[in-house]
This record gives sequence, structure tokens and C-alpha cells, in this order.
Amino acid sequence: MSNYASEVPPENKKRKVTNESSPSWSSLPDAVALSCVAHVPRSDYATISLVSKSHRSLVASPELCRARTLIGCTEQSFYVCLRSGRDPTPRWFILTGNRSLKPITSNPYQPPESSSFVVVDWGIYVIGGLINGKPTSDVLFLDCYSNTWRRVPSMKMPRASASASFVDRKIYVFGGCGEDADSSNWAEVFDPKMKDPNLGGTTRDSMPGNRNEWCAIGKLLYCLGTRGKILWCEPDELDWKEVKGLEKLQTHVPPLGSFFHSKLLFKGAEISKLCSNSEGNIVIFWNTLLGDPKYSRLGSTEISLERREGGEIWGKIEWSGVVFKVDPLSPPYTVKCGLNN
Amino acid sequence: MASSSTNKFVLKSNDDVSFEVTEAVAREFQVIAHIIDDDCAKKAIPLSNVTGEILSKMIEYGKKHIEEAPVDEEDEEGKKKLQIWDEEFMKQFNMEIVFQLILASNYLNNKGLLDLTCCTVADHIKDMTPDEVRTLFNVKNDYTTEEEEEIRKENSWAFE
Repeated sequence: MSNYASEVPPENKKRKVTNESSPSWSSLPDAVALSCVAHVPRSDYATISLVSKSHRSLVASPELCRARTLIGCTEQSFYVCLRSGRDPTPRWFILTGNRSLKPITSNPYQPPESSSFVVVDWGIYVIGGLINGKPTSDVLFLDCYSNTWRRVPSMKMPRASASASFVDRKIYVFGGCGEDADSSNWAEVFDPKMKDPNLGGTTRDSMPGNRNEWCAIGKLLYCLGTRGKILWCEPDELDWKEVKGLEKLQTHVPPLGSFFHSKLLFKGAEISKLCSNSEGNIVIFWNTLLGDPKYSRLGSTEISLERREGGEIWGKIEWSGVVFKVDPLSPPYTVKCGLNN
Repeated sequence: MASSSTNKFVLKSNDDVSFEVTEAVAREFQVIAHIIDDDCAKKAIPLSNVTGEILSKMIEYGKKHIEEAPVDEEDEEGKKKLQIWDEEFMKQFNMEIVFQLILASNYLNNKGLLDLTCCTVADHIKDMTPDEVRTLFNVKNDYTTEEEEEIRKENSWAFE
């Protein structure tokens, strides 16, 4: 055996020969073991985690995420966070390929409201929020490879309803710290790859309107406007224009008065989330609104976008339908977060 | 490159089995391509990590991929044909041979065969229980019962 080992070239030094007659996982160089697991569908990762400790850390490693991207073996999943008025803990689901929501582990420490959500390649950050009416500086992380939760370093400031986004590999969090805000603590920037978040400089907030319902697709920004409109703009101009061709979204808007004034209404439904998917389409989630609670449903609509001559943006509804039946006794759900990874 | 179909090289396994191959086939393995480029391939090329049994299979794979290479990126039919051949090729091996092929294609740097063999392993893992994976790949369970239960609970979404 020792002779054999001495002939192994340097790149295979890790190889440990255990039992020559049957294959041994530990004989695989790390990069090869990674490549094997990268070809396994993600739905099997929970099983692989249980094989051994080293398998578990392999499944949770960012290298696996990169390997899967390299071999083009990524599977899109849409993560949905729902909160019902009765249960303070938000519940998490994955929107499956056959258009239904499958529950995953929720985090009992997740603030019930006003958190900000940021999607990165490997998971979702839940930033700040209100716990018993008070802002918190807690930051939680949902690892989308293992669908498990981790607590990550807190922010310097407690924040609720902050505007947070992932830009240029860093997470920017603005505002949400109420009267305690001054120029030194208005914004925090953290690099998710670094162990500790570091405080960023000050930044002026230039986004008007409802900042929670916007997303960037390509080089353009999209947001919810009033009365069934979706708006777009160039990020450096912030001159919002309407996405054309979506008149269907705007029909049947019930005259509900000022209460729903700032929210988009869609066929008697309230849109609670606008986000994008990996195809560069807009995905919106909506609740059927008021009326008979027996028909309370959570729906989703996917809209593809096309830039036409003259610079106009046209939208086309690719898919629209109900994805979740809401318990008739519970108040309407609000989609806090719709993400893909 | 005109000479690559006529130039021959001899590859020698660690159990002294020699194979004469064309330059094109030899170049399917990047490590050997480098040896040829460095002009160090005057006589037989010794491959200290590969047995004759495995080397003959690797050469069979290399030959097929030279002979039946898709005409271009658009040649979907050609790609499909080769893919079917790949699948059939892998069916003849047990996991022990698959592992030896993985290690050898990693050593000789043949990306296609490495990917193919890794996929074969992945196909075996798919839909197995943790215990079956441990048995197949000689892995020791280093979890305590409590730890295992904890992870099972964390991942309950996947076991429904």
C-alpha cells in the first residue's frame, strides 16, 4: 500500500487507500467529490447531508454553488415568505415546478414584520424588522442549498422597513432607524463574504414611492405604480414610465377609495409583491381581495418584457393563476418576499 | 496537425500493458497532450496511476469521441448519438470500476470522461437513502443518533 501511495502524483495526495476491493468516497479528491455531488438534483441534498459530516459540509459549501453554476446544473426555485395575521412567525415555502407551495423550515426568531429581504446567489438575508413593535438589528440568513437558517452578525443599528439591496456583491441597507438616524448611521454596507459587517458611508435616498416593490431587470428598474400599473425607468434618470401592453392587469379595479390608494389592484386583487425571476421576467404575487373569504386565494403572474423601437417597454403576461389556497378563516396573507435562487 | 492521424504513441499502464494509439486519441488526455507538446514522448509514455484494464476503457472512450465527434456545435443528432453511446458505455461498469475511471480521468485530465463518470456516481446517489449511500461508497456514519435526528428535523421539508 505504501508503495502505491508514493506513486500518486501531488494533485492526488489526498487520496487515501482504504479498501481496494470496493470504492471509497474518501479516495476521491475534493474537487471530484464536489463535481459528483453537483450533478445530483438539489432535492436529494437533504439525504446527502445525512450521510456523514463531511457530506453535510460539502452540500453547504459555496464551492458547490459555483460548481453547479459552472456545469449549468442550476435549478430555479422561487422562495415565498408568507405571514398570516394570527401567527407571528412568517412561514416559508418553495414554489415548485407544478405551481404549488411546499413548506420549508421557518425561523421562530424571524421578526413578524417590517424586515427587509435581500437575495444573494446562495440564499436570502432577512434584515431587521419589528419585534414587539421595536426595531431590531438582527440579521438572519436562509441558506437555499440546505434550506436551513443561520444567524449572521447583526447590524450596528436596529432597523425596520429599511430599503435593502444587493449591488456589486455587497448588501446595502438604508434607513429604517427612525428618529435615531443621522448621517453616520443612515446606511450600512456589508460584504456577505466577510465575517463582519462594516459600516458604510451616508447615502441620500432618491427612490420615490413604495420602495419595497421594485426590482432591477437588466439595466432597468421596475416598480408598482398606482391602479394596476407597472412602471420602469433608467436607474440614473429615475424618470418613471408605464410598461405598455398590460391593460389586463388594470381592468376591474374596484373603486375602493383611499385605503388602497397606494397599492396596485388587479382584478379585485391586491398585489403584495413584485420581483423578477432568472429569465428576466417580472413575477407578481396577488391576493384576491375582500368579497367572499371562501374565495380567498394567493395568485402569481409572470410577465415577460420587451424593449421596442422608440424605447418603450412592453409587457406580456406569460402565466397567471392561483398558487395557494388561503385558509378562509385567516386574514389575507401578505407575500413578504418572493425570490429565486 | 495533418500528422496527428498518422503519428502513433505508446501508452503504458502501471501493470506493464502497452497500447498503441494515434496522436489524436492520445491528445484526448490533456496530461499526455502536454507530454507530446513538450516533446517528451519519444518512447512509451508510462502512466503510473492507471491499470491496463482501466486504460483500455479510457482509450475506447477516447477513440469513440474522436471518431464520432459532432461536426459542430449545431450537430444535435451527432451529440445525441454520442450521448447514447456514453450511457451504454457506462452501464457495463460496477461502482468500483467507475471510481477507478474517475480517478484515472482526473489524473490524465479528460474532462468529458470525468464529467460522465461523476454523472454516473450522481445517478447512483439519486433517490438512495443515507444508509445505502454509506454502504455503496464505504462511508462511516460519524453522526450521533441525536445529531442525525436534529438534521432530519431541519430537513423535514425534504422527507415528506
